Amino acid sequence: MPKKVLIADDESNIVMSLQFLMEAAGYEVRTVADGEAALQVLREFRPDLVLLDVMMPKKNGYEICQAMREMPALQGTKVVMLTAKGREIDAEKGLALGADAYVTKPFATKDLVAKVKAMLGDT
Amino acid sequence: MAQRAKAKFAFVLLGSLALAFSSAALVSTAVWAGLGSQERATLSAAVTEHAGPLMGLAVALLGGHWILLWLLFEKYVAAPLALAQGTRLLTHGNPSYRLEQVGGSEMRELARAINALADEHEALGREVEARIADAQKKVHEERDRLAAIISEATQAVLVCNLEGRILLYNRQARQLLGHAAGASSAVAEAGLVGLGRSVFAILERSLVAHALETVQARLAKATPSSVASFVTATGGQLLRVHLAPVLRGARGTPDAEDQTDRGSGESTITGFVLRIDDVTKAMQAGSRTEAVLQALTDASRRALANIRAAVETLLAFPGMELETQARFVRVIHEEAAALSATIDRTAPDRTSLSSEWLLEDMLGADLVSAARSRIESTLGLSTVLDAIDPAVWLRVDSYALVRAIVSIAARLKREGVRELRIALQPAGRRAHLDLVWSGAEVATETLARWEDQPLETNGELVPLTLKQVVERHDGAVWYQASRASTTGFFRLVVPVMEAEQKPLALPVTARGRPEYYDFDLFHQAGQTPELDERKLVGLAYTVFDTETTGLSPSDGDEIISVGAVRIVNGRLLHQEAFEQFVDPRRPVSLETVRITGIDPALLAGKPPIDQVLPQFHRFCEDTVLVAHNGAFDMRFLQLKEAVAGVRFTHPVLDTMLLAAVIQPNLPPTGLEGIAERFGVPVLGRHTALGDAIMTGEIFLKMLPLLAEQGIVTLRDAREASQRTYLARAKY
Repeated sequence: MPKKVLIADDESNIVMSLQFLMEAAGYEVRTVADGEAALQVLREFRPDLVLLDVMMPKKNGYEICQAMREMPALQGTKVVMLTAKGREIDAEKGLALGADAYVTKPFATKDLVAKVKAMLGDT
Repeated sequence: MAQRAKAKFAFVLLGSLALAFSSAALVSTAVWAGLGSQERATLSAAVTEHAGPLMGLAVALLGGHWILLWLLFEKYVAAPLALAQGTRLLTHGNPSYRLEQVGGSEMRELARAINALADEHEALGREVEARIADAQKKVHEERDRLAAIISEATQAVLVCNLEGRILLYNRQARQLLGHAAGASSAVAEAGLVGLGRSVFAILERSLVAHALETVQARLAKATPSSVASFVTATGGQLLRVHLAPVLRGARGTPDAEDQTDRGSGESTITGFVLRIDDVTKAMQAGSRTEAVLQALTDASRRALANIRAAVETLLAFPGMELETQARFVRVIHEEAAALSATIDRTAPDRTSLSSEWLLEDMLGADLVSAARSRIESTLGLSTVLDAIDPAVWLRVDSYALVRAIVSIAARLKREGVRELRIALQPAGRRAHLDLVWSGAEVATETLARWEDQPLETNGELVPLTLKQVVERHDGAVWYQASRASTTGFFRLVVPVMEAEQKPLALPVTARGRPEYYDFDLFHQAGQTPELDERKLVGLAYTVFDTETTGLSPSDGDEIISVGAVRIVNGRLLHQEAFEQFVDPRRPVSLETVRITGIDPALLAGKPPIDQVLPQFHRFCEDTVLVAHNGAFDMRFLQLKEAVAGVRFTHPVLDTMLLAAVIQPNLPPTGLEGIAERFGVPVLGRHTALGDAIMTGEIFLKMLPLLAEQGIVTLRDAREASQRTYLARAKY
């Protein structure tokens, strides 16, 4: 059974690439375009890993991350934050609020795929 | 002196007479004893026969003896005494006085020699005076030139000596600072800015001390720019202050290229120039620029991420279906076009991207206490200080940050929070400022919304969001709330100041005031039993100091300035200050001019003491007086009570005695030594207000230490002071 990855980002242009890459890596992928949808899908889809954009409508990535950490069912889900906020302090905040990794845009897709695989133990 | 000389003379005269008589008697007795009875009869017959002439001879001998001794006295005893008196007169009083030539020729010779010395002394004195006058003229010329330059400056400029006394200021300074804050009494009448006034009535002493430390550290490291700046809020204005040192031994300004001079670290700071801007408006412009820059960066990052991901996917999967390929290419095209548009849109704004807004150094504890007092006064929400690291210096926009904190507090209060705890701890290059609450359930969704809403204080909205404030600091804000335990915290992460400090080593001038014990500090009429039972921390104090023409009030020395500051509820109120110069109506000694830096010309035309003391008396009303070596100042006040028509009956506490209560085993020391012991920066010495503020800061540090010894009420403090006073007096 393939591992599951949720992509939460409101920009379809990056979602397209990310989805293609994750599927090519052999994962089952679902995508959402806002924070509330993300929380809903998280509950039913129970992904192994979320690629979480910080700046999203309705609820931002930090909030989702905090909410996830309060849900017992999602304790095992890895969170990779993706963001255009490039400051060290934003990364610190993301990690403080429960993210497992923090990736600043723009990034090398190769590195991202490698990172996801490593976090899911698929190297 | 002459009396004692005469007595001595009489003693010598009697002695020599006694000697003459006793030797005559001895010789006579010896001769008499050696004679036979017939010879004795012959001799006594001869003596009896010539009794008249013999008596005459004796009297003549006696008289001659007396006259000889008298002449000796006049020429060699009285004459040198007169010479000594004359010499003293010409040394201390009138250098043109010349000695009369009296006494023996040796004495006349001595008088001539002294007169020759006096000629040289007088000529030398004239030359020194001429040089002083010349130097003063040059100083005045330079000052006029400087005054002309700063009067042209568009910014407010203040030139101060190291003691914080204002030496020069321009019109802009007066306009900007004149109405800063609700100053009281005499200070308000004259305005805060004035020649010779202490700058610490306008700016917090600790801020200036810190800026000077920074400058000193930069000088020591030969950093190209030895200017420090800070921001402070007074009376609704936000002021940015640049402090540049005035150096002795440095050619030109401290910004000059001359590295060798500064590299040696030898040049000492003798004063400072303050350049002050009102940045209340600039803050808003600054926040717009920040926002533009941030938006541009974020947009570029996003677009580039999308393009890069698409391109890399295309490259990694060359065998992709044509339709999918076309979709990726479309994405690339769209994103590239959008990015171009964003840059076009933002570019015209780039001219405004100046670094108008700078972050300034501020003591973290100061920021917390500023925020705290605003929260308590405007919201009525009670606050508790948690762990506050007193050594943390922040690099912040204090105005915006305080507003942000108050805004969070206001919203928490609406959510039912009744008490807020504040903590400040360093964390590497940043510091964590935490607002912690318990007993109210606040949803994280609610907290999240606050980030993007305009700040509000007291119902007034500020066009700035919490997020903007945090971004300006290159910081972050996050929060964690637990519904289960109804607790949570807001964490503001803000940058700390770059470490480049070293301990302040300002030149310390030594001047010992005598420790006056001829004023009874312990039985002031205003000591009442009710007052005596009140707790020290709750009392209102007037901490004061005087500057005087000299050290002997009973020998005609006069007060030339009185400075005082108020302590209420354990806080030193810088704006509640009293500072007044006094025309002493007598010459001020050069020594005093050197120590206090007061230009005697400044004092002419100031009110005399009988007008100033009633003003000061009003300022002190219903407070306990605090002074360092209070007996000294009280003695001066006491001697003027009659002419001024007021009596200072207030209870008095003396920080010199209290220091001995707290540290009985350390030797007594001056105000500076005690300041160092209690960790109060030494700055602003020898201005009455500067010393009063320093004494006040020391006094506040003493209160908790006294409490540890069980000294809680005014009576306790007075009695302990008296005990140590008695112990020392005995010693």
